[in-house]
Amino acid sequence: MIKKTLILISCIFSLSTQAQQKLNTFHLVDEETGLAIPSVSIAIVKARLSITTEKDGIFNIPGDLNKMRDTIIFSRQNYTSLKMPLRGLNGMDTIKLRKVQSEGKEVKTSFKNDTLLNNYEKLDIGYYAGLHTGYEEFNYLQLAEQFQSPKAGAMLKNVTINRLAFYLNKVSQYNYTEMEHTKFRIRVYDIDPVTGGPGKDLCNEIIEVKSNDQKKMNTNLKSYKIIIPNKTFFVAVEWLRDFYNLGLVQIYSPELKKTVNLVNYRPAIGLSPIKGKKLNIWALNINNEWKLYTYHSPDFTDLAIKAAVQY
Amino acid sequence: MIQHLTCPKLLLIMLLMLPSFCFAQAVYEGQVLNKNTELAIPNVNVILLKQKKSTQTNTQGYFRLITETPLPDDTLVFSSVGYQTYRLPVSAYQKQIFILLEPVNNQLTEVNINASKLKNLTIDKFSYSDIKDLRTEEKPIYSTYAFFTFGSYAKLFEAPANNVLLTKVELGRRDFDIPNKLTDYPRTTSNKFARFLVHVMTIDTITGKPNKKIFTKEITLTDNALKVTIDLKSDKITIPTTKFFIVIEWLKITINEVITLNSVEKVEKVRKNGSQLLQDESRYLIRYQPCIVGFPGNKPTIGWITLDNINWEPQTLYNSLALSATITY
Repeated sequence: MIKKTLILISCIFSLSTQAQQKLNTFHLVDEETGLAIPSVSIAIVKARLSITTEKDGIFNIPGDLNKMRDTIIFSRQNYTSLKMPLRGLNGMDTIKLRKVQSEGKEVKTSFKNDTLLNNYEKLDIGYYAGLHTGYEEFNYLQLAEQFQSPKAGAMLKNVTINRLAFYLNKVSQYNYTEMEHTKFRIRVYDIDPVTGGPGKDLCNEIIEVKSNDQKKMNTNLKSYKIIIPNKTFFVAVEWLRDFYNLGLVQIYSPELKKTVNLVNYRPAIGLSPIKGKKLNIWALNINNEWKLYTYHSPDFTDLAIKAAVQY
Repeated sequence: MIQHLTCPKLLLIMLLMLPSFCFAQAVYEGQVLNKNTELAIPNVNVILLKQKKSTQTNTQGYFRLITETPLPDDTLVFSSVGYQTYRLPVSAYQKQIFILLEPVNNQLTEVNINASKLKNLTIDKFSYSDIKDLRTEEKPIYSTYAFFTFGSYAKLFEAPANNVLLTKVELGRRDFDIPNKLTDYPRTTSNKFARFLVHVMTIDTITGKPNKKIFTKEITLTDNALKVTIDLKSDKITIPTTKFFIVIEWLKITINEVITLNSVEKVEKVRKNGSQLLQDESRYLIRYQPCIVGFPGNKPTIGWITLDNINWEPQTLYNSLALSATITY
């Protein structure tokens, strides 16, 4: 309960300033089974707010929904995204999302060659994406690295992601230090033939990874049997904007002429120290659109994400 | 517990622990300077002897060698034509080390034929020893401190004559590292790039404030060299008056971003006796390169600061700012 209240503090401040507010509670459920859907991404477009629900699929919006002129988007892997006006939620208590039917395919499992794409030296990583800076607020739901496999039909074997992490002082019976923790989801996408950016999901299963006192997060994906149909594919980090990943960034606000704390969600993803010929970083904005991520251009072209493929 | 472990079990534990020793990377980086002049020496061969890894210093005399499998008894060898070869056991390596090479005795002295008898003078000269990190386990407090800001800082210089030629600016950098003890974990990201503007400005004779910009150059640093030389000979900058300012303008751009952990303490638990258990909570702060060193010097640094590049405020630093100007007159 404390967690949910904390998550919604931002909503309370941004959506309405009335002292006495009505609290609207909603349940996100699977249209077919009626069961709660955990970890659904909810974005409120104009207010530039986004959270991820907890396991129970419940979320709250304070205030009079009829007066709100904004759009809400529900999105989750394996479900069709739902976009509707906020005031359309008035009178509802359950929101149903439709599951996308996955096609069962025979997957080839024997390959002759292995290759590591986007290799870099981890000690040279000095820059990170995924943080609010004094220059721009970071309001993206996912960041993706574009890869080029040597051959179509390859299998994605392994993904390595370098994240930002410091040691924090913890106190229990003894003083000790602990590396900042995080969990996030890995998404793998095919190329969208129209935009050239990320398109269809290439893995129907949810790949959630949790940090293990390491900055380098290595994930073996062999068991998912992810086949890359075209040479171009994308590996994305999907933020879980929940209590577990909650942190703060201090920003100097020129308007207020003082330093303010903004809510930020871990992890921040490293940028590859090797500069390529073209920009390979894509970002999913709050409107659920993939755009090239130009914030670090022209100095950096790739994220610190390595992918090992077999073909 | 150990008493109950059989020999094969112990062997297994030792084998399991082995990879953690084998995969510890090591980075050797620093700057190679002429022992007599403290000028950077480019193209010095730097060899990690047993690993057979090598590199060369760049124009700032900077080198960086990374090894995946460091050997504790390895040696770094620095060699260059005209200098005595220097050997450093890796056990004696310190972070961002300065290596001083002695010119060989039989080296031909450079002959300058100069009809006009021009003099060279470095104003507010500083040494590598002023900017190197002097922290040890026994002496945990900084011997130097960092100076960093948004906007611009203008440092006042006074030349012995009018119409001098500014040929070089040198500055001392350091990391934005926060811990006072060497044993603390880093609380900042390590970022080697920095892009900033160097201006030369005249003085307003009435107010003493910086007045007009007479020269501007964008500088991009691409390595971790602490002693940075900015060669301005080809820019032919003539300074009309004796008093002038060298201005560093910080640019709030992505390439200068450094992330610092500026954690906040939160109450994790309250004990029965009322005492509190405090824990650090993640909070980051973005700072901007370059980070210029202030060191305990003989005199304070007189300068001006601006946040909007229009309104200048006096800002005297009670340490010496590692920023020097070399002139010819």
